[in-house]
Amino acid sequence: MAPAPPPPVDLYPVVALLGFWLGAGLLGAVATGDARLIGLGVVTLPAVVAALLAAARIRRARISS
Amino acid sequence: MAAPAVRLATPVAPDAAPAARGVERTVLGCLAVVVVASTVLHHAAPAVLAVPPDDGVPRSGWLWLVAADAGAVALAWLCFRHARATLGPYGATMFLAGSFAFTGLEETLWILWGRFDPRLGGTYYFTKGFAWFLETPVSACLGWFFLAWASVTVAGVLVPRAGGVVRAALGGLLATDLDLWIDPVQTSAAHRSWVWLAPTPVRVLSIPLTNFVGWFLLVFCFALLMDALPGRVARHGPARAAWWLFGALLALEAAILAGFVVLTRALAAVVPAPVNLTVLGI
Repeated sequence: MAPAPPPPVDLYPVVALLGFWLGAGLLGAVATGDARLIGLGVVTLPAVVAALLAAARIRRARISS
Repeated sequence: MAAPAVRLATPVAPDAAPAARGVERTVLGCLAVVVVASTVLHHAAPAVLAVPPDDGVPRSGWLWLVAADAGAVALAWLCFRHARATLGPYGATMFLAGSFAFTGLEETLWILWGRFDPRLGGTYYFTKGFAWFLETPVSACLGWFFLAWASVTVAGVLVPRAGGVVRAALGGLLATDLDLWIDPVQTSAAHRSWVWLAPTPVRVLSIPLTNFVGWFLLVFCFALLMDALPGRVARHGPARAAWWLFGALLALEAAILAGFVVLTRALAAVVPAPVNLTVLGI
């Protein structure tokens, strides 16, 4: 198994995923001015929760190692 | 014992292996040649591939195009840096170049097939991009790369003891979940980053169902192939393993495109009138 990358590199994929969600999703939806498209962001809740959970686990693994 | 922070494949090839370095240089060189040639062709001779005009597309000026590409490069760099630390330079390069070959080529074939085969009545096309890989913006290829890498990495962190199939499936679901929002937003009149043309029988949020099926299948299959790469490298060396990877990706692409045609025809036969599964009227 691959060793975990050192901090802060280990969090880069989470940053990329949430950065894309923020830029292409949230800011993109706000730019449309359509409240329905902003509200539709709720469907991505599983992906956002998964990314935040992963960030928390990576951080916990850092502390315990 | 704490769960490992990242559970992915073993590093694909020893960093210092000269053969692996040679393959990396060759693959990246080919990628650069295709991108430069495609970019020149797209902007300087759009008639060759019958590129639709960008008239009226919001934020399609040069500065916007370069800024959007720069944003994609920044996010892709984060994931490439992480991939290098996890898989080594050879594995990271194969993941990046494989992403271009897999998604860029698949999208281009689907786009050009729809553009030049009147039986399909058009599929879709991208409107924005400074740099291009064939008829797909480099930003879209990079976006696929970093979303695939990030989704599969997050999946690996969440289910560290799961096998490769479960990790690949969860990664595919996470990427597809994100696209459920990104696609309606980016195809709205305010952005028109890409345009759907085909009157497909089943749409989800006004987007063809095949798009979401494609997202899941591409990430799922790609992650499984990348899992198998270290074994190939160990048995056959980095050069033959690279040929195997790109050959397998091409074969999968052909199968997925054929599957899209079969799925679309089967849905058209089963669904009497076009269906659009909407939320909030979108």
